[in-house]
This record gives sequence, structure tokens and C-alpha cells, in this order.
Amino acid sequence: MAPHHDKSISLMEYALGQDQLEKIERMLLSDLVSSGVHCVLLIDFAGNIIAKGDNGVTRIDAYSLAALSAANFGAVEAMAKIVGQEEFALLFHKGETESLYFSKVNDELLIITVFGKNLSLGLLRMKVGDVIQKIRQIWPKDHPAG
Amino acid sequence: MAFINMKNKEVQAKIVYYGPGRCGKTTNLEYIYQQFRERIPTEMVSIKTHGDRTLFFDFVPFDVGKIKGYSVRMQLYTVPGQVKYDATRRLVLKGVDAVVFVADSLSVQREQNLISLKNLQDNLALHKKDIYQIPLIIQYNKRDLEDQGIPVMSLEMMENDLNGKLKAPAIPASAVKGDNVVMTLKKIISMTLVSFQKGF
Amino acid sequence: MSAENVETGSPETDKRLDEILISEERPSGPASAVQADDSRAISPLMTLKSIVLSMDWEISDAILTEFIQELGRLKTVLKDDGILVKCLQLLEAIGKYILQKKAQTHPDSIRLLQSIYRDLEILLLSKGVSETARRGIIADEIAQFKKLKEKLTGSAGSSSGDYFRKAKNPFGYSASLTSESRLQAGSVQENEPMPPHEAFLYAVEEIKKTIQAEFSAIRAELKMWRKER
Repeated sequence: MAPHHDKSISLMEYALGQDQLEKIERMLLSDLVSSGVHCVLLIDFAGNIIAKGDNGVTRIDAYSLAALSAANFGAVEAMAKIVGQEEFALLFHKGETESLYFSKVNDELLIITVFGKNLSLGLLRMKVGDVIQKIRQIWPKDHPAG
Repeated sequence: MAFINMKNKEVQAKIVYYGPGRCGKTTNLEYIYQQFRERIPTEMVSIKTHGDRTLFFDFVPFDVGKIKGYSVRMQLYTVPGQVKYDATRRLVLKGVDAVVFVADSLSVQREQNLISLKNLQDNLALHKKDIYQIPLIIQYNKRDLEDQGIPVMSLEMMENDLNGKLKAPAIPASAVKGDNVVMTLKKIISMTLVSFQKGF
Repeated sequence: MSAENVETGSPETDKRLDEILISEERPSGPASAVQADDSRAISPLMTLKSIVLSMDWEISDAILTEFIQELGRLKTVLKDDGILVKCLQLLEAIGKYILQKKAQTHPDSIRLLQSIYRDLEILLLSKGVSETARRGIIADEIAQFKKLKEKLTGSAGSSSGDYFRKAKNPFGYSASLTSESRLQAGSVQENEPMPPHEAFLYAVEEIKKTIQAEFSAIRAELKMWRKER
């Protein structure tokens, strides 16, 4: 690296504290993964992964999923505006064995859940809704990220 | 905008390759992907049309390694260059930390370069970002065509056209041959990290 | 099999009891009464079906309340068929549990709810299902229900478990608790939806009463049988 990188990176203002992150990741595990969600990603709208939880079995390319999800969410939101909607309430893709559910946390964050046939979407939505409420409490209101 | 994970000591930032249609944005990323296969844990993501043109974006997560104890990951994106895909370009620019503007050296593309650069400025402004402030590199691509007798613009001309006011670092390159592709990447990564140190 | 043996309730005897209790429980109403006419047979579950289907997509307080109300209505409509009423009671207990636990709901409870509903359709709408088969179906669901309950009460520390914890031993919890809950549940039932906690205790109490009645009957039968020998 070039010499001018030697100063320590002072990025506190874009960062989320370790405590907050741990709290969020613990919650993703206890509230979602333990209920049968295979993998859950908390991402920002730039496609960065903020927090992640998985069952240790399902292997997915989280970085690509995050990049595609952020873009896809943006695209769907733009489609909603074209038909005069602020947003669509339900973003869900059903696969034969794995399904995807996207949910907006706030203006900066998005939750992606990967789940199988054993979990009903209705229950998942209720659980994700609850997790979103909790993340909103933890996430700083005027956080500059995203 | 970059995200710093204090828990896992990880930095993620977003670099977007911008420029007119067929200027070589995807070729830049493909070259990087081939060269640094071991630093890129996953397949390159490309959303293309049937005609092999970028429809939405290409994506390569590039693992820079450890810097000051933080593992740094640069998310490299391209935008679709064709004028009609402006809405998707704006989406890809969301949260951008740095931009490589890939200019096409072909003489016939002079106008397209100018239009695309202006479009970049406008779209950055929509995300409340200033083209004069954001880390930016101009890459004059397709320099290899000169050797084949195909009419290309001189570097001076391109500097005047595109970089007169911006005064951004500029690098001549050939994405097809791989000339200066890695140099461009190195430079933009270091500029991105420096901008983080300044705290924007 | 002695009466003492029955009361301690090994899994095998439990299952057997479930079978007996259900077969003896229906005072009148043969199932055919409900199955007599196709149009009548399909109609009772129309609303419930649409609610259960909608729960696949979304579960909210409003939907759950509607679900529980509809079950209450059906219990009246189908009161002559003990097996169907048992089915409805199980659904109601699960519905109330979900309403209370919300996001902490155990995923198995949704699966069980759906399974019981499917069986309810079979029990109500299928012609030519033998009584033995019908008893088998409901006994299986009761067993599943018990298994879920054990899972919830067993997982100490998990919030999902709290709901059923007080009813861990439905055959032997304290009398004061049950009489109180019976009182409350009884008064609530006629007016507004009762709190889920009370409602569950009420349901358990109902099951307990039935089982106690069955025990007495079995004891009496055993006595007679012994006398005969």
C-alpha cells in the first residue's frame, strides 16, 4: 500500500459499534435462524453486508446475493413509483426448495431471508417484522451510512 | 457509502465503473476477475441482454486484504452504458464511494464520452454527491486501437474534453489487453481509502 | 392394564386413551349427519379455509382474531360431532397461542395448525371414512399437539415455552388455578374473546374433564370385568 495509507483509518462515523452489531447478529440467530430460516442478511442499499446469520448448513454467495438484492429492491421500488405506489408491501420469490423474502428496515437497510419449505411465509413475515422493530431501536436514527 | 464492521474488522466500499456504451467497463472487470481469481471468492455476477450488453450491472467483490487490521473488500460494479438505461445506472450508483470513468478513445465516440460524463455528474448529484469531491479516475481506454490504424483521439484532446475542469487522475489503458487495468484499480482503491481517512 | 397404570400415562396408554376417549365422547350425532348433503358439507368450512389460506401469506392480530371467532362459530354449528369439535378445539388452542406469542411463535405450531385443518376437511367432507379411521386421525393430531406442547414447555428459557408451561401436566395441575380459569373462561366465552392464557387453560380443563370421565368409565368397566371373572 502507498505510504499515505499509513494513518489509521478513522471511520467511526460510518461504523456501527461492536455492541450494536453483536446484538443484531444475536437477534438474527435467535429470532430467525433458530426458527428455521436458512440464512439472513442485513444489508444497506449500496449492497454492503451489515450483519449475517446462517444455520451453518446452507452455503450461499452472500456478497453477490447482497449486491443483487440491493439493486433488485431498488428496481422494484422504482417500478412501484411508476404505478403510483410508494412501495410494494410484499417482495417474495418462491423456489422449489429455497425461497427469498425481502423486507425494508428503514431508508438505509434491507433484510433478506433465505428459507425452505418448512417455514410458512406468514410466520416468517411476522418474525421478520418483529426483528425489524428491534433493529430500528438499535440502529442510530441519524446514522450517515447507506 | 462504505460500511465498516467493527465487530469483524471489515471495511466494504463500492466502486463503480461508469462510461458510455461499449467503452470497456465490463472488459475492465472481466480482466480483474481473471487476474485475481484467488482474491475473488465467487463467480462474477453479470446481468446482460441476449446481445451480451450490460443490462443492469456486473459485480465483482474484490478482497484487498488487511489494511491496519481491517480486511478491506471493494465491491466493483459497472453500470449499463447505453443511454436508455439511465434509471438502472442511478440505482447502481446508490451508495457509491468512488468512480472510474472509462472513456472511449475512438474518435467517433467523442460526443458519447461527453454525454456520459455529464450524465455521471447529474446522477451523482441525485445521490447528493459532487463529481468534484468523490474519488474519481478517468481511464482513456482502447489505446491499443491506435496501433491497428483505427482513428483514436489524442490523449491531449481527451484531457481537454473530459478532464479540463475535473483535474482527476487520468490513465491511458487497454482493457482488452489488460494494460493499466490493474493500475487503474490500485489507484482508485488507494484514493477511496484516503477519502475514508479524510472522513469525506 | 390397571387403572393405576393408566393414570401415570405411558405413551402407549396415552394413545390408547385418546382413541377410547374420542370414540366414547360423541354422545349422539353420527358423522353422517354432517355429511348428508354436499352443499351443506362444503359450506361450513368456507370462511375458515380462506382464513387458513391467508395465514400462509400473512399472520396478524386481526386474522388470528377472525380465525378464533370463526372456530367459535363452527363449534356451535358442528357441536354434534365430537371429533370435529376436538379438531376445532385444537385449532383454537393453537390460534390463541400464536395470538399471544406473535413473533415468538414456534414454527411447528403453524405446521400443526395447517395439518389439523387439512384433517378437519377430511373428517368433515370425506364420505366413507370409517369411524376407526376418523378416530385414528384425531388421535394422531392430539398426539402431535401433545408433542408440540412438550417441546414448548421443555425448551426452558425459550419464550415460546412460557405459554404452555402452566399447563405442563394437564392431568394434574393445581385445583385453584383451574377453577379460577374455568370461572373466567366461562364468563368470557359468552361475550368477548377470552385472554389466550385463560383460553388455553380452559381448553385443557375441558380435555381434563373428558379424560377424567373416561377414567371413571374405564374403572367401572374394569370393576365389572373383574367381577365377571
